Amino acid sequence: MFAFSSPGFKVDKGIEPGRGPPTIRIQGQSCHRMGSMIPVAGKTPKFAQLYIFDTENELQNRIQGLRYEQ
Amino acid sequence: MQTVSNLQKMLDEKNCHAKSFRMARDRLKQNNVPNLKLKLISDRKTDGRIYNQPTVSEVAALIVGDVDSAARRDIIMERQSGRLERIDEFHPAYLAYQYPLLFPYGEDGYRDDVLHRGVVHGNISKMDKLTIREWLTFRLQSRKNESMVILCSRRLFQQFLVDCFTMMEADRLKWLRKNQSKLRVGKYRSLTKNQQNVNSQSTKQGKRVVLPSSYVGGPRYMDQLYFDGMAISSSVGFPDLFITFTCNPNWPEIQRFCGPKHLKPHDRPDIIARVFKIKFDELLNDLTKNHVLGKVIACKLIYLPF
Repeated sequence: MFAFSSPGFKVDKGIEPGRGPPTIRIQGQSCHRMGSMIPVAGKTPKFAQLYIFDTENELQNRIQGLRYEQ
Repeated sequence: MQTVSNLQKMLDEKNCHAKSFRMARDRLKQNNVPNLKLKLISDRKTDGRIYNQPTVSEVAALIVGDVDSAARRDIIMERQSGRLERIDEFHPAYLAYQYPLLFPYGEDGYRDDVLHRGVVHGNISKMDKLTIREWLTFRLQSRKNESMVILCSRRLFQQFLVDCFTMMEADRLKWLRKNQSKLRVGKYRSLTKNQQNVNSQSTKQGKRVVLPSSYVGGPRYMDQLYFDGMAISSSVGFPDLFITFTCNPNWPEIQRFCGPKHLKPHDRPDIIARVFKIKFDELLNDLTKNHVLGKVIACKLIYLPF
């Protein structure tokens, strides 16, 4: 929600949620990425863009971003 | 909503990266400069061994026009573009960008030029430098004079751990990829021969990277374990016991630690691993040194964590 960069993983979706601790399995090389200062027209601001673009509605944007991911 | 705005305020006040992005925002608002770029600087002048707080001018610079002097790991943030740029794992702020709540001041992460204590500047060998593993294990200890932000952050801590591990692994793999000649990969000749027969379009084929048996978890490592086991079996006979030793999160040691902090055992994988290792070593000690089950002729370890 507050992060400046975007994590890139290949997530393995084959894991069934069962008993025991929640598990997320990733495969391949992971990386962190960073975009531009202003989002492309029509897209919602993400990550570091939240700090720069459309800061009047910053709180809304942040909460919205979290909901979208879920 | 209230929490979000409070956290937001805190980051704006204390986090130097948040400040630098705000600086970019102010500049963008003021006047419409077409090609404004934000340079996130990776080289630091301060001593990496000391807890130096990075300042805004140290981590970022706003640049109008083209960037001419960029170090290898600097990130240049364009004004508007659709693509994402990759951050080098050894950018000092790599972890601070991803986990601003774990590094609230925007503290620097690992840097590859930090020297061990007591090393005099001058002739520096490779062994005198801090490795990424050492830095991570240093970070993951609980200390009396330091708040346990990272260790008590539960799911974020787990993500952080996975991320740290992939950083370490990426570093190891990079070394293996770059030092293939040192590892004498050429002697795996049959392998390369096989390749040549198959390929018709050699330009499309990538270069094969061979993982040596010292790479934990790799196929050669597994083969070696298997061959060792078979060699033991052939010299002293087949095994009598096959012991599986698992970890129980309800062990009193783990509960005693996690209970007062209101953490679930799976929120502290480091503690679980540590307790498991202690118990595992004790078990081995009982079997091989104390001879609880009689004299042990040979013992083969296959250690599979998690």
